[in-house]
Amino acid sequence: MRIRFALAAMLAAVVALSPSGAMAQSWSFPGLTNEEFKAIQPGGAPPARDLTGAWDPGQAGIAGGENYFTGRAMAPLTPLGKEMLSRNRPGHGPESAKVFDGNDPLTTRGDPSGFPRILNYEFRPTRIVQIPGAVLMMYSFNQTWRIIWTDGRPLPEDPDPRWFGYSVGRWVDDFNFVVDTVGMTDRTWVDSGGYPHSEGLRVQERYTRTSANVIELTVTIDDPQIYTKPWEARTRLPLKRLPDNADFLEQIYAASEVTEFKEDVAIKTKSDTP
Amino acid sequence: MTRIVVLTLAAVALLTGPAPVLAHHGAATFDTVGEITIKGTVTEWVWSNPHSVLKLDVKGEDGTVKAWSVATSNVADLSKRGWSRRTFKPGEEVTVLIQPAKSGQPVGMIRNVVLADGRKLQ
Repeated sequence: MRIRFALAAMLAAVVALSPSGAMAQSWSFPGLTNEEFKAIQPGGAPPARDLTGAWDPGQAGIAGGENYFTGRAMAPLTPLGKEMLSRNRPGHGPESAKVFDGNDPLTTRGDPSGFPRILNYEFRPTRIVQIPGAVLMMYSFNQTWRIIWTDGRPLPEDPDPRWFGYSVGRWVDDFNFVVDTVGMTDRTWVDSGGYPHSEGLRVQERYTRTSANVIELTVTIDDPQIYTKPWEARTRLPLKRLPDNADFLEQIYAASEVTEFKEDVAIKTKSDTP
Repeated sequence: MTRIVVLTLAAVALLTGPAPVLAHHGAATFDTVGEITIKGTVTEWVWSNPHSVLKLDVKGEDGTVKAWSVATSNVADLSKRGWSRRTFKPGEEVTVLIQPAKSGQPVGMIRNVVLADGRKLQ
């Protein structure tokens, strides 16, 4: 009951949007419920060239399941893409496997989400920090961050692959911030459906600040080795503003916990378990 | 006829009931069947990701005790619903509606839990 009261107080603060104080200085905010998410109104005109703050994509950000896959047309796979997809046994989507048979590197081994999967599954409350020359994305899921350089540097031409790649961003007008990313390791999946990518993947994010309390995010996947044409993994996904002083719940897929679940439960759902 | 009505009601309940407690994997991937109610004594509450797990000892009609492990959602989604690390304590009696695994092993998905004081969690 106390938790619900704290959430209600937080929601009231969000709606009122007085980031300096109205919200109780509570800890471990787990993210907005569907009702709380819907209750947040646009809140007036957006500030120019500013994404700063705490943001929550709500249930649509979390889901790698129905919300993400229903009605979504993935771009057709190339022969290499089909071959890579055939090796992946995800827990969600049209290719989903039984839980005892999954090989999702995140949920069965505790690997990092990596990029762009952090935007396509378990995309939970996120803090955006703008500093001179860079924008920091601080994701509550797995307590992960990445840096988007805005100091004018070009993308690296032959980068060593990283879990979260190499990102540069620019404001194309006062309300649209566009980020290009390269150099992502092909050990990660694009999403929880097991969709693969190569190290030639290029991702573009477009953050459109539509109002004081809303950013819309579109994520475009461009990987000619794997997909026959670019496709949007997110299309104008709304992120709603939380009070600046929201403390996020720590939600980490620790390898030890992932393994314990697999041994205690997942493997025992298999019919030929001894 | 009664059986048909019961099965129909069960099917309706499955279709119209609360959102699945186990959000990370759908029922199909978890390979569960039907629903059953188990009553037992909590031995451990594992508050973790990607799933929290309630472990309990369930005494059968023949007096033998079987150790069950029943899974629910992740820490963040459970927190939104008011569950916490302190929701269960070892030794507490609980009644759990679950979807058991088809394998027949004592594992399954939690649909809801009724605590000794009558409070229902889902």
